Amino acid sequence: MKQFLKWLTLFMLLPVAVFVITMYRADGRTDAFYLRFTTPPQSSLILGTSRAAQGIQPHVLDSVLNANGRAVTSFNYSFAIGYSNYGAAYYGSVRKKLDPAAQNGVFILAVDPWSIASDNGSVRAGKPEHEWTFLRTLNFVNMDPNVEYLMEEYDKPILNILVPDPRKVDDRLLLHRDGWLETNLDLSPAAVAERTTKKVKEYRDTRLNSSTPSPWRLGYLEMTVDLLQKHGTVILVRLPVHSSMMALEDQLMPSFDRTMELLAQRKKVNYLSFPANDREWSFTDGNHLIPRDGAKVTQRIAEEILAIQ
Amino acid sequence: MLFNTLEFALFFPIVFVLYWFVTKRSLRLQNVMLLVMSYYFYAQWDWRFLFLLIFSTFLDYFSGLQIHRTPTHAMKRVWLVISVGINLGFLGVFKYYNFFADSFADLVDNFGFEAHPVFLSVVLPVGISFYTFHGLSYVFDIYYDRIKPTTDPVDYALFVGFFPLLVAGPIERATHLLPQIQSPRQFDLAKVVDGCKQVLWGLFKKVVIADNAAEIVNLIFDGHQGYGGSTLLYGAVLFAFQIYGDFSGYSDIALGTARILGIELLQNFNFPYFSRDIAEFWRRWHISLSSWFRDYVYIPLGGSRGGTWMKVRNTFVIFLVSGFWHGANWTFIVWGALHAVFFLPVLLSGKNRSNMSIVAEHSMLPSLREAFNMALTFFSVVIAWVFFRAKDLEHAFAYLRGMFSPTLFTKPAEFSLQLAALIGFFLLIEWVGRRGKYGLQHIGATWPRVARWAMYYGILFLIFRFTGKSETFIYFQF
Repeated sequence: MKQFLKWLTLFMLLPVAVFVITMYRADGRTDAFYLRFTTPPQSSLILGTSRAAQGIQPHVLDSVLNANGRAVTSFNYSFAIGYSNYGAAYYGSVRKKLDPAAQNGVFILAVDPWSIASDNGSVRAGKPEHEWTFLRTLNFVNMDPNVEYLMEEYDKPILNILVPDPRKVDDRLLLHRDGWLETNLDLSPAAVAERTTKKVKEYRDTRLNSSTPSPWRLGYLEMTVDLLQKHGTVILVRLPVHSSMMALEDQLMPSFDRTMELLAQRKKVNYLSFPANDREWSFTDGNHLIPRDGAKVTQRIAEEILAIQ
Repeated sequence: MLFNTLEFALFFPIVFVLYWFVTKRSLRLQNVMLLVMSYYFYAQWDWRFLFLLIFSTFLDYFSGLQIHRTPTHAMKRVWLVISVGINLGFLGVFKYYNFFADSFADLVDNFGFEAHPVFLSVVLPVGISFYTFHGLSYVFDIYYDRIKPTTDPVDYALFVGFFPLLVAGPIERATHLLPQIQSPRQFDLAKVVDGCKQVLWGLFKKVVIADNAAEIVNLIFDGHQGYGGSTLLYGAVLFAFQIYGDFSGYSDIALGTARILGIELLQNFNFPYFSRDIAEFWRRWHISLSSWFRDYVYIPLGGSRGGTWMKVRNTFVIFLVSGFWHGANWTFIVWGALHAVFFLPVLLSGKNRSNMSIVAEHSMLPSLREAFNMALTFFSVVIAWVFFRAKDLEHAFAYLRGMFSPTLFTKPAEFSLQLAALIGFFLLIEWVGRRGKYGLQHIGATWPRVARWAMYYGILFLIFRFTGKSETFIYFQF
């Protein structure tokens, strides 16, 4: 037995060393989610799907609020449609990410019709989307390095972090430590038009047909507001989208703004809706703001929060 | 809890320490600990079905005792029928009820009537086909006086619920496993090292070969209408490697972990794709299930001793039952029937036992004839796999129609050079190591430690560098 343990220890030295180095090498280029699970619990959160992940920039929000006497360190805990729609999985994950001792925090909940709709077409291995999102299965969301995420949820070979496949390196996405997902895409008019057409088509042909407004998700949005209200200021925000995307959203939920206004009144929080304005806002694909306009919209949200006070 | 997860990587070392350090001095304590950990392992999937497992275990334990104690043959038979009936009843309800209800409705519909069957919305308890067959073999062996029942419920429960084999086999026999559970296990360095190597090789098969193949297989099978014949053939061949890597990989990890704990499980695979005829394939593929059906179905039916008609009947029975065991779908039944069709000419010509040894046993390469026979057998198996993988019969026939079309001789639309290289490496190791119980067993045994370790590090590197998208083990669904 002693001999076995001796040789096993010796043999495992190299793999364990490589493994540890790999874990510590994971960073904002690893994938679009990883870093969000490596920080301590947070006292101010930005929630939503990829629109919020790319659109709302914590460093901009913090600088505006701090300059006006509101000490806030916000954190973008938004993911993507299908993963972080409001629901049981996201609610549970937000509870884990929220510092239970947080007071006077700022909580921005980005909302749109898709985030409170159930996508019946999005079924994997017989499970609806709220069952397969990793937010449901991930036990640890405040661990650095987050071994659980990298071993269980990271969808590439683990050594890819240490020795990236040169054919698959994607430098268009960079996840910052504060949770903001910065995109670096070709913003030429032709490229943007092509991506917008593709994105809108995808939503119109698949997601719109399979999505239905979900009272269950709306209920979880309310529960999320209730949870966060105890720790500070909550604001619901509908981020700007391209007019063609807005038209689809109006088809899915014609009275979405009214629903949110009523919810905001009931919960005594503010609702800020940005109407479609293709002159004012620029998008990478009709759905996500370009970084410059993300900063602009974040500034507007910060000013709204200051106005609440 | 899957073998290829972080959970298991934490679970097994805990079992190892508890087993060899904490409970080593007491066989009783060691078995109780193993049973508790096995039930914990199973409960990680769905704790509610643990009660079904425990019920099934104690039903067979109690039936075994009653069969042995009852003096009259008639009463023995009653207890056997009770045990078999309840076991198959559970299997029927959870696995086959909806299939029969649906098939009955279709049948009635063909006669112009309308049926509205009630379908059950139940999840299939993982491993139910495996642990049911463990229990059945136990009561059959007692009934036929092959073994005496154990009076220790913990030993019996561990025989059924031992975690390495609980959810996907190998399907053990009481004659083989129970004596090992009842005897003290000694730490044997050579066996433990061998177990570690088998786990390593099993992981490679599962996460590198099976999971990488699965990505392309899913793509091709799901969108088969859009592909030409050569791509469809490529998809079918890849599925052959996927299912072999997946299931034999699982078996290797199961056997390896059990061996680390000093317990030998039945060999489940013996390089089946190097078979020279279909009879040999079935002696090498899912051996524990094939031998189960041979011993408890085929031989009681008369085996191959009767006339031609009996041989044909028994062959079809065993292959159809085997197909049906895999799942409640006509695709599995056709898969079984197809193998019966492949098998019968070999059986009826008396050549079913002409390839008993490993191919090219005394040479490095096979002869041309052997190579041709291996290729032919492999191709037959690949055709049958199409039915196994397809969603339904319509899907399978459409896939085969697409495959055997003029586009069979064009360049495949999907092809991964990286995967081809990995499969090439895999086949090389399996070929060189085909005289062992698993590919890696004897390779490098006489090399200096540095070279041996370099090889193991190389395989570890491949595992962590080329892991495919995690797929659950295919045989968990059975």
